[in-house]
Amino acid sequence: MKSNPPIDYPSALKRLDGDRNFLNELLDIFQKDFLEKQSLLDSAVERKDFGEISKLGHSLKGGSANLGLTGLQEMASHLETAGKEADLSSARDYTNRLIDEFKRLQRFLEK
Amino acid sequence: MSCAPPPHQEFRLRKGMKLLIADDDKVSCKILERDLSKWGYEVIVTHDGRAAWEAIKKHRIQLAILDWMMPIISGIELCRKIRNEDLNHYTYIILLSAKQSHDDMQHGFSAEIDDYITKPYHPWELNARLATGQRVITMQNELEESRRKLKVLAEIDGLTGIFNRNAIIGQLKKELYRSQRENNSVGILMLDIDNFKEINDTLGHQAGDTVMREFASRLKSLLRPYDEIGRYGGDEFLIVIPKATSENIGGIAERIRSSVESERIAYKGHNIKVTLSLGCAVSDQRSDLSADDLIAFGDLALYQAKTTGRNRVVVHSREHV
Repeated sequence: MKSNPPIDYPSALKRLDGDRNFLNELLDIFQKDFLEKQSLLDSAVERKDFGEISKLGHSLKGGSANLGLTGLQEMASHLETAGKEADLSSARDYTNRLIDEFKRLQRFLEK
Repeated sequence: MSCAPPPHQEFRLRKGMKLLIADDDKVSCKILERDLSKWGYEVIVTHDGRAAWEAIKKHRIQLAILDWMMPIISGIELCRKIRNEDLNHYTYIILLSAKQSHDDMQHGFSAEIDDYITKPYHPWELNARLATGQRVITMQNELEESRRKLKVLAEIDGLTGIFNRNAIIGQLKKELYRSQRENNSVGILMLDIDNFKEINDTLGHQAGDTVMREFASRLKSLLRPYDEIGRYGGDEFLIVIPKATSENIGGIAERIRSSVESERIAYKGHNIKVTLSLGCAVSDQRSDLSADDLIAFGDLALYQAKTTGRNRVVVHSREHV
């Protein structure tokens, strides 16, 4: 379905003055942070806590935008909207798609 | 042709200035911290509003970049808190937010932030806006400094370096309020140098000035740290002694009198003998006097010391009234 790589390397690197090591360090931090937020997100969806869903979406959107993670940024943005609109089925849907996109990123980075 | 600014424009920045950032997103924080360190700031990193508030107080932070969306206390709430609480220093606040609409910006500025930058920020823009912040902080600090200096100038007597008349009366009023609240007494000494005019007339005004300065510094050295002294006018001085009572104030005054008498003041080969007359008055729970009353009673006692031979202490008592 998606042919774009999960990370836009050139733009992320450009923002960091081409510092590849720093980008890798940030990607590590991001992944750890994502896993923490993922479990918060699961329980927020379970509780139908739309305020929390929207906040987590907002936060993940900002983090992924910084690193050129365009796919994740898009999913997180939809999730934020779903939270604001208290749309449970959208929230479930985008949570799953966000996690899928994250797995795709992990596989991509392992290569 | 391009209107873009040169990419590495240098700003005249103060190096090593402390700057606080507060952002719960660890990646954003890292990137921000790296840019700021590169520009020479000493960066203090926090991840929520409460930790940021504690750090601002502890490190006297004057420049802060706050993320809007944070757990516990948001950037907006933190800004309101900083503006409402008395911090003794101004904090220049830049709100960093992914919210880009004019409504959001209006909301941000209503919390009295100084500047607003949208995420992801452009490094050049942030650097420029921080330079603006530094200019404001520098002006603010200069203003505070001159206010402090002016306050000193307004309260200090130019010749003797002790409080002037207004300031010592202010001190007396403050002490009277405090003593009434805490149920204590307050004593004052009104005193002047005996035959001071003679020193001026025989040795000149410079000798008079020297005696006055030396005399003031001796008086000061004879007092406890929480007693206050000021020049009341001419060669008259007013000393405020917290917790002095009608029973012990005469002794305190006598100690000052004999100690001044025992040592002459040197001026260009002359050894000038200086004596003083003192009038004492006390306000306690029973009398509950105003500053004006107390000064008037002290003055009355001083007059009596003068007319009964000088170089002596008189304590005001009800019999004088």
